[in-house]
Amino acid sequence: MSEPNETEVLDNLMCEYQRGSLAAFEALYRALAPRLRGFIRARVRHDARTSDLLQEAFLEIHRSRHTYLPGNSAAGWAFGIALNVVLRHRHVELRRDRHEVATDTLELEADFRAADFELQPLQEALAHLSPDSRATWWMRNIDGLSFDAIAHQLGIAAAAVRLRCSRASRALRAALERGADNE
Amino acid sequence: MNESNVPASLLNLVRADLEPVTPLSAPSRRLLALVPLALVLFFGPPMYWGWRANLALLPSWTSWGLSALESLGGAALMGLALRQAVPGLAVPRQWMWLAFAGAALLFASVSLTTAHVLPTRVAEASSWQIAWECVFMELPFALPSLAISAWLVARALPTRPALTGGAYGLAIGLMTDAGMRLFCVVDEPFHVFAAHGGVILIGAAGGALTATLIEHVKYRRLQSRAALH
Repeated sequence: MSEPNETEVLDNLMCEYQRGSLAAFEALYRALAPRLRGFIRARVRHDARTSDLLQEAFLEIHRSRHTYLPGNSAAGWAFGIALNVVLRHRHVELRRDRHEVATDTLELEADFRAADFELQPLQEALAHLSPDSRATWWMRNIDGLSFDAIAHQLGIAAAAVRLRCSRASRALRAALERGADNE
Repeated sequence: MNESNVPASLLNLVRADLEPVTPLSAPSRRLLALVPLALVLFFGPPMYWGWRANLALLPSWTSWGLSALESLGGAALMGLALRQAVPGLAVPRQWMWLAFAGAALLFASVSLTTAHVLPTRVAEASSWQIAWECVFMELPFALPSLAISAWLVARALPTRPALTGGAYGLAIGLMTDAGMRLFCVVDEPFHVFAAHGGVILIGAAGGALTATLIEHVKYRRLQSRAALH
C-alpha cells in the first residue's frame, strides 16, 4: 500500500470505527499496533511494559474514539494518544518511586532501632538526626553504598546525597563531642 | 511479535462498548461556541457592577480598543488550549510557553498603556482593600467560565493537562480582565497587577489544577474498567 493510500485507508477505517464497526477496529489494530509498539518501546525501553502500555493505548483509543476529527490523520491521532499514555505512565512511575523511597526509609529506620549498638553514644547521636539524614548516613556509612546508588534509591541528586551525608556527619561529630565533654 | 490479532481481553472490552460516537467538533468550531461566553465576560462585569466613572475620559482606543484586544488575545489562547486537548493536534510545548509569555506581555502592555493615558490612584491606606474587592468582584465571572472551559477540554484528551489547563485558565483570566477594566476605575499599576493580574494567575493555576485532576479521575476510571474485564 502506498503511503497516501494507506493514510486514506486508516482515516476511513477510523470513521467506520466511530460508527461502531468492530471489523474496522480490528483492521486498525493490525495496521497501527506494530508502529505504536515501536513508538512506545523507544520511550520506555522495557518489553513487558511496552506490551502493557500498548494495550492501555488501545483502550484509551477506544475510550477516546470520539476525539478523532474526520479529515485529520488517524495515525497522528493514535500516536498522540500513545504519547499521552507514555507520559501518564512516567508520571505514575515517578510517584511510585517516591512511595518506594519512603518504604526504604522506613525499613532503614527499623534496622536502626533493631541494631544492637555497642556504641551507645553514636546511637543516641543518630537519634537526633532527621529520618532522611539518618537514612542517607546509614546507607553510606553502614551499608557502604555509593553516592550514586543512594541517589538512585532515594530519587534525589547525588550532590544532594553528598550534602546530606556531610551535614549528618558534622551533626554526629558535634553530638559525640558534646557527649564526651559532658562525661 | 505477532500483532495480527487483537488480544481477547481488549476485543471483549471493545465489543462490550461499541456504540457509534459523534466526533468532536474541530477546535475552531468549539471556539466559536465560546463566543457568547467571551461576550458575557466582556460586557458582564461593567453591566453588572457598573461602568467605570471615568470611561468618558479615556480615548476609545484605550477603553474599548484595548479591552477588545485583550479579549481577542484570551480567545486565541483558548483556541490553542482546545487544539492542545485533541490528540495529534497538540502544538509543541515551546509554543505553549511562548503563548503564555505573549499573554503576560499583552496584559502588562494593556495595563501600563491605560495607566499612562489616564493615571488614577487610590489612597495607599485603602489600596489592598480595593484590590481584594476587585478580586472578589471578578471571581463570580471567572470561576463559572473556568468550569465551562474545563468541561469542553475534558471532553477531549489533553496530553499535557497542566499545560492545557493553564492555557484555558489564562485565557479566561484575560477575557475577564478585558471586561473588568471597563468597570474598575483604578489604573494604578500596583492595583492592576496585584488584583487583576492576581485573578489571571488564579485562573491559570485553577485551570492547571482542574485539568490535571479531571485527567487523573478519567485515568482511574479507565484503569478500573480495564480491571473489570
